[in-house]
Amino acid sequence: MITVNVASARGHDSTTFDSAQAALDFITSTAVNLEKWVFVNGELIADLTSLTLDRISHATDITLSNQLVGG
Amino acid sequence: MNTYDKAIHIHTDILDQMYDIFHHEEEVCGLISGKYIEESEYKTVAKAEAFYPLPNIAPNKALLFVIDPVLQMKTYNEIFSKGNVVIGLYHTHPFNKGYPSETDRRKINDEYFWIIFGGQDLVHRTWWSCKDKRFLPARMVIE
Repeated sequence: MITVNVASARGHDSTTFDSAQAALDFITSTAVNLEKWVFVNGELIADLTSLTLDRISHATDITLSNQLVGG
Repeated sequence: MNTYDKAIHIHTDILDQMYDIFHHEEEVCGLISGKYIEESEYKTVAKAEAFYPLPNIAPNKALLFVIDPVLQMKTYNEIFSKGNVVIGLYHTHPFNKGYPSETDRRKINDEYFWIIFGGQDLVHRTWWSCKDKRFLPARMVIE
């Protein structure tokens, strides 16, 4: 089981996935479509293509957070 | 027709901290923590507890802000650990007024207060961001 936390202004929500592939699909689609930063074990993932199934499988903390951007 | 009422209560000390970081050539930004003290479908009242200035890492700071993601995450965790939530986002428009820009509107991804300080008229304006990418005018109650 792989847990992905999604941080927002009100706190964290967690979603659990049965497989690393399902988690990776969720992470990449959510990050791109909803403009989220991705942190794996506290490290900001600047390049989403660097995320591998192995890295997802062994992560102890995966958190997505809103990108706070404006102009 | 229903009328929205969105109000943020904020102490002058916190407001002063926001004014203090104003820069005449670059947008500055930060987060406001606090608690929601009243919430219903049309009414939201929040009380600010603290202001957290955060670095703007945008490549063109005169026109954009991007809050540093690592410090943002650290700030979120600090705010949550104190039992508060993020009730607002502060940023400035050095060369314009405190009305949301088209970029602000497109980049909405959470519901809370936006306080925008305009360098053109030196006035702050308060807004509520809706998840459907709209801004509603909001009230600031200075305490």
